[in-house]
Amino acid sequence: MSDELTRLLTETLQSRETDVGPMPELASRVLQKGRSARNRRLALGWGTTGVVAAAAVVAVALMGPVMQHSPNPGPANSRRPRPSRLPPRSPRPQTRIPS
Amino acid sequence: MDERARDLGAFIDARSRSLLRFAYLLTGDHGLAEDLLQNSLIKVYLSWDRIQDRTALEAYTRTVMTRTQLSWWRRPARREVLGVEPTGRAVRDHHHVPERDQVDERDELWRLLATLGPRPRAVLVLRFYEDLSEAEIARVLGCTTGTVKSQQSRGLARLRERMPAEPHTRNTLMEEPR
Repeated sequence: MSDELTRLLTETLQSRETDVGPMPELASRVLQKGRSARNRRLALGWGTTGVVAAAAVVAVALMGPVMQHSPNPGPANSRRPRPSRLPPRSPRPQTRIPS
Repeated sequence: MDERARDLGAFIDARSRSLLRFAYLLTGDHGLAEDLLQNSLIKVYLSWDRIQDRTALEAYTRTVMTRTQLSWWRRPARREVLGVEPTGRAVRDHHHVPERDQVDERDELWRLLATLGPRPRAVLVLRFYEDLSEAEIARVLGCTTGTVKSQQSRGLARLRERMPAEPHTRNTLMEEPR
């Protein structure tokens, strides 16, 4: 039955060959749509590159002044001690200079 | 006109009929076959620079078509369009004519083929129409030879169980109840 079925299947598939007609203008349509899809892709690629580049420029521009102000005292509620509240330095032990 | 357009244009003019036939066997529908072929050829156009062996262009295009068809099937909207009820009952002639049986058998099998999923259907088309080996089918579908074997045997089993054994019996079974 399997051989019979596969034979019939091959015949069935081959008999359907005549079901399709030609597709007029297929080549020109494919080339036209392919070209526009390619251009879209290129534009998207350049667009993405442009956005990334602009973001990088903005980031550098913002980081410049921030870096110049360091060391920066932390905000009031941060755990970083403000410079004014640092514990006073302990006086240096006076060493006696032997005479 | 650039080289890509010239070469691909010549390829389409020469092979579109055969490729459309293949698309029709994969989809079972004229409109879908045309869509499938056009979309696949656009994909070929876009990946033109990556195709190194231009002599294998047709095999590459068939691979793109098969994979595109499988990916379409995953979209629910497409599945509804492609879906065919497996019951395909039809009124048959009471008079038993052998040649007619042969044609009826093919029609019946064609209808049953449409009830298979896209993967077993693609495997059967590649095996029994394109006459590809299991290893070649595995390369086209991007799966293992074992998967191809199991899809093939599952597809054939499903066709066998839905196809009555004898044409004469089939005529009796397919008659509409009165």
